[in-house]
Amino acid sequence: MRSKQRPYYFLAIVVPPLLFALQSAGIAEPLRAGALTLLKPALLAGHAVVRVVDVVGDHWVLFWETFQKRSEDRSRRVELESKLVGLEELARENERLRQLLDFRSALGQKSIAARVVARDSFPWRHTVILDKGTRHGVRKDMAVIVAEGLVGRVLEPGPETARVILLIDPDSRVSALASESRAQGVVAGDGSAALRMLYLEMDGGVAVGEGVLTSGVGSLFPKGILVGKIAALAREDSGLHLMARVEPVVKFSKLEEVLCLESSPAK
Amino acid sequence: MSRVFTGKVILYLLVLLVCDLCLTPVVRTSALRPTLLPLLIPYAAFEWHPKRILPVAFLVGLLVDLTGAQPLGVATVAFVGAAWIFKIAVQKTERHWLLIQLVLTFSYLFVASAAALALSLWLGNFSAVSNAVVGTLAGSSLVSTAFFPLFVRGTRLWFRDAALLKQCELF
Repeated sequence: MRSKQRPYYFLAIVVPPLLFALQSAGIAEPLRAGALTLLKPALLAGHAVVRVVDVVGDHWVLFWETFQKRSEDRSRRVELESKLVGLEELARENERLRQLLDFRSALGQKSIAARVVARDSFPWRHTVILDKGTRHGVRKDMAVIVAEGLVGRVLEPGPETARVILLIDPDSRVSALASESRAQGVVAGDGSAALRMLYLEMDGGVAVGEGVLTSGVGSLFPKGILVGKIAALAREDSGLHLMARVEPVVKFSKLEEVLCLESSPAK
Repeated sequence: MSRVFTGKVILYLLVLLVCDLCLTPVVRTSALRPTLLPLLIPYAAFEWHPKRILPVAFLVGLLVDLTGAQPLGVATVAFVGAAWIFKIAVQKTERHWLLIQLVLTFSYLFVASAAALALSLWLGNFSAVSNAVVGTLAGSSLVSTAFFPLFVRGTRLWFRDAALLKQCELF
């Protein structure tokens, strides 16, 4: 019995430090990228299932009422309404992709379209996995956007997939400015669905309702991409600056298709 | 090795992983969503045998590490470390009572997630712990625990040979 337990202790005691060593040797990212590449078909299948679940969920009441009816004419209506539901979903996807395409054309910068296929398994991290990687032109620190505004940046690109850190992640930081007062600050996630704008000058003239745009400082994100709208103002704990609560324009829980900007931001 | 490292178990772990990455984000209440993969560890403790906890925790942690944004090894250390304490707790309690199972499951999930968060902070991978993060951690553990009875039923169906893995307790 003891000899059977020794392998478990070996696994529990020896392997985790080896994993930490891999981290410092710089092998962790390729290892993780390789794992996600292997998992990609399963993630795409899971994503397809999610889309079916969404359609059924949205039309549950319609299906329930429809299946309760029994006559021939009603069963014909079931068939037509089912087709209608499928067509409505296609129309919504068409509209979403058309908006993205129009936005992409108007951007004036090269971009790579990608789908969100998975999210981080830890609920307090806000990262997503895209179905495109370095093989499709995605690079580290590329800005990721949708038609509504900024989503985040590429954190770990792999050959077939890429991990994107969202703006609402507590580790996310973006240099930003208010659209009217032009007050500069830093937008950070706080782990909830909202954002905070930090280090605002006390006499900067920031007002509730102002839009927040990327400032282009730091060369990571292009200038002028919409981040959100200021919902509330308060003094920071240090008392030296103002802090704003920012409502993001992007619905992070509903991300489906995104664009990765190829060119570097204008200074 | 043991019966934990079988194709059926590893395949089930992969199914749970894909569910956590793709499906459970759809089942969310505000920022809270259940995570199914770590639930296999309490399942192993209650339905199989407490000796199975550590290898299952190791596999779960490894999969989460390979697909997560935290440093490699964080989830493995957190899940295995918490599983060690969990194993002692399970061996000291009446593990067939549902209420005790739910309390222990919530405690395990919360402690493992908190340990992963603490390790990430210590390694510098994570910079800010706010009330929202702690709230999400606790809330997600609670939501996952609420799914545990359903998870047990589904997992019993998957492992139709679960009876073979159960060991008789000799008095």
